[in-house]
Amino acid sequence: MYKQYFKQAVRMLGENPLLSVISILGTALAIAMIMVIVIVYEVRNANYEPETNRDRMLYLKAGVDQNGTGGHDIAYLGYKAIHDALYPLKSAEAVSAVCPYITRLASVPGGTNEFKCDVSGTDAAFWKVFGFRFVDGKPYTEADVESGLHKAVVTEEVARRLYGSVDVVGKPLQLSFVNYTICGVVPAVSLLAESAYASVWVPFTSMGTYHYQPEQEGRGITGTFFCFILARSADDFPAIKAEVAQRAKGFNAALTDGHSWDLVNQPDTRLEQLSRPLINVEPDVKGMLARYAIIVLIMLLVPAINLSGMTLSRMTKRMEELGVRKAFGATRRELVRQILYENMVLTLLGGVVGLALSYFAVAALRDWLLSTQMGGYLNGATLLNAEMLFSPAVFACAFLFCLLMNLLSAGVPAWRTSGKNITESLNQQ
Amino acid sequence: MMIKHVFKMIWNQRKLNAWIGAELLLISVVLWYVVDFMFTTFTLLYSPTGFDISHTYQVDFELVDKQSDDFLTAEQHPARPGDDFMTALDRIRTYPGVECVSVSMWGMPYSHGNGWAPLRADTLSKQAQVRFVTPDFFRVFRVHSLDGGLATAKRGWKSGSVLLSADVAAELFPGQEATGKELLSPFGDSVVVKVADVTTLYRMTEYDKPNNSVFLYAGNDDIIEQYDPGSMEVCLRVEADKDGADFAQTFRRQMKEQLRIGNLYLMDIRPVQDIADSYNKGRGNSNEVREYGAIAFFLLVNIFLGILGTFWFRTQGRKGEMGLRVALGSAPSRLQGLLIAEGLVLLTVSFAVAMLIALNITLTDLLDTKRMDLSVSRFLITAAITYVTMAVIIIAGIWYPAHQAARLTPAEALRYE
Repeated sequence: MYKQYFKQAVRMLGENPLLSVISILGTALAIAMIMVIVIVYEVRNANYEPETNRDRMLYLKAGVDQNGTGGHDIAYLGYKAIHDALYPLKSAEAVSAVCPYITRLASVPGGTNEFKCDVSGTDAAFWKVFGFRFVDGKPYTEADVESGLHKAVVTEEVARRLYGSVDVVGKPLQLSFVNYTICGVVPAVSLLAESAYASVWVPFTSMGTYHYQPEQEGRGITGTFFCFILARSADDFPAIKAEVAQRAKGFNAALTDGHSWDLVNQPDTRLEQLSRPLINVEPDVKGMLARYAIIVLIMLLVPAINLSGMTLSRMTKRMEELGVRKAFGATRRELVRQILYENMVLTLLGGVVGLALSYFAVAALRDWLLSTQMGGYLNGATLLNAEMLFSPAVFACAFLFCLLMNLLSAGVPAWRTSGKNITESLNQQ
Repeated sequence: MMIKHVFKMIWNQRKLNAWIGAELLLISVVLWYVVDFMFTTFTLLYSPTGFDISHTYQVDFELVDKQSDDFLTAEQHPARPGDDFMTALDRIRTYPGVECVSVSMWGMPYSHGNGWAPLRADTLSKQAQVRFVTPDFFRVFRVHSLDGGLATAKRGWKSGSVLLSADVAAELFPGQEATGKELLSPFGDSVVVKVADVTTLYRMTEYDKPNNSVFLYAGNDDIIEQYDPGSMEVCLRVEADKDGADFAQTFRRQMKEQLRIGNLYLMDIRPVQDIADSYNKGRGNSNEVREYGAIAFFLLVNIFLGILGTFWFRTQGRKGEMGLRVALGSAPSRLQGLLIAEGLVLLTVSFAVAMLIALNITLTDLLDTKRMDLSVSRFLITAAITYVTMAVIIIAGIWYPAHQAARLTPAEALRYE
């Protein structure tokens, strides 16, 4: 039966090449654009190395200091707030403080070849919150961080630029004239993993004057840190958020100068994080999803109307055949099914072309489609890999949108043509 | 006469026309929205920003950290970092091709930070963006005075006076010449400052409307005193004929040693254009334009395909009619014209309905006014652009099927009858 539909559809394709091309192109373009949106969404939200725990992570990036008289300061988070109120969180599995996006000149001591690289100062929990794969060596430990040891984890790329090989564990490295020892090597991190991203990681206690100075931070609400909270599972989010709010209250109670730490609704889930236009502006997840939905709807609807017109014309031509089938006892449901199945062949053809196009577009236009807020200022690249792109969810989505497209573009014509009176249909010829 | 005929043709094919009409209606509304975005954005993009970043670079300095073996203590190197910084600026000024060098705080275009403060003159008070700049800032970024020439070039600039942008000058001193007037310093307690000059409208970036700006004098002593490598922007302008793709690289190579003074070292030099691109990308400004562009492209391709398909069918199904017309002496070109007229009438009818919806969208404040205020002309211009664009695509879509149909010889065509 299905074989019959398939044969029929293929014949139909050949009968009117121009219309077939138009149908397939129309479908392909729509599916391509929708799938670009889906893939971009997926790349921003899915788990992949080294941000392997996005679905159970909470983010705090903004430090907002309300001065009590209506004014406020906005910066990254201060170390004291993290130390006093976030590190002690009982409901979380791990809490990491990161001092991100610092530019340093990297060089081999005594060498003349120096280059800019992006350095993050982190604690030891960072290596637990993010899932880095070590090519060689291992991360620095809690004890290393506590005593401010000058140890560094570098990417393979940095290792190669410094020493021409990745066999660098134990070798020295200079970051803007300060000596470090390399303790581990990891693969290069894509700019897309903007929380984990850096090309060199060092204990933040080793970063010196400008970045880690808890004694000079004053109230410690604003500073140079991001905080990442790893939950045991996403179910714990409400409990963690409640505990953060409560501990912030305790933190504020200890302030005596009228200032207070405004959480601006943090910590955020990944989705909330992405929907904050600026770090201190409330997230608008619903608005962001509604925007996506409207765009996808338009992209489905416009070509669907287009194709409906054409399907209807095609069906009108086949009235006679449908009439005969009806005369021999085919029910309306059967006819509708036949038309939908036949049309599905066209839609799927378009869908496959469209999905391929969308992958091509994402790869070719990644600096635009996958740009991140800090991307332009950093030295890394928007690396893509199969793990990010080829998730089952993307394929399932593509198939679902094809089904939808098919229903939208052939549903109405199928229903209308199959409802025509037998004699009327037969009479047409 | 012809129009009446065209209407009759459309009515006869009303079932099929309903589909294409519905599509044109939907696309008209969405495309108009996109056109409105593009129109307002590009109008803003191509109006003057008040500054010129071509042939300009930003130079980043840093200080060697205390932990480094290379760190020099005050005993080893008595000069203050600010003094070293001044020496470094002098050395940059002598670099071949460098026209002028400026230092600013939250002042350069695409700056990371911005500060605001109220300006008061008599009873009036206005918020303005505060920019600390050295006098050469206006030369580096080619900021002009309202009465021509570079700002401060004619009247000079001394410590204790400020420059206002034209908008805030007009708000504080309505109907008067602002230059020479006095106002209260935004920071000092009842310190009076004089207006040294008024600049043309000044914007944060090419994606922002002009905003009130006040330029405060940054003197060498202040800079030396408060030197902090993180917040001071060093910018330079290069003579056009000495600038090139490898300027930054060469500068870095040749100046690295010379700019290593005390604990000061050269971190980076980047064209301001690069910084602008990063800024616009990070804020999503440039990507938004591309997103709307992609949607417009999608819509136009769909109109084209839809029209092409529909009219292909129509001319195929109406070969008999076409043949008859040709046989009765209708010129092929007239036939083509008839089909195109049919398409345009369809568009016009759908478009009229679409614009009613568009008007409602405009009146219910669903349009963005961040870049341009609502006005009748904005609506008319965007509607006109939308209509013409769609008309062109429709003519392109009809052309091929109409051409094919009109080429039929009468005998061949009549066979279909």
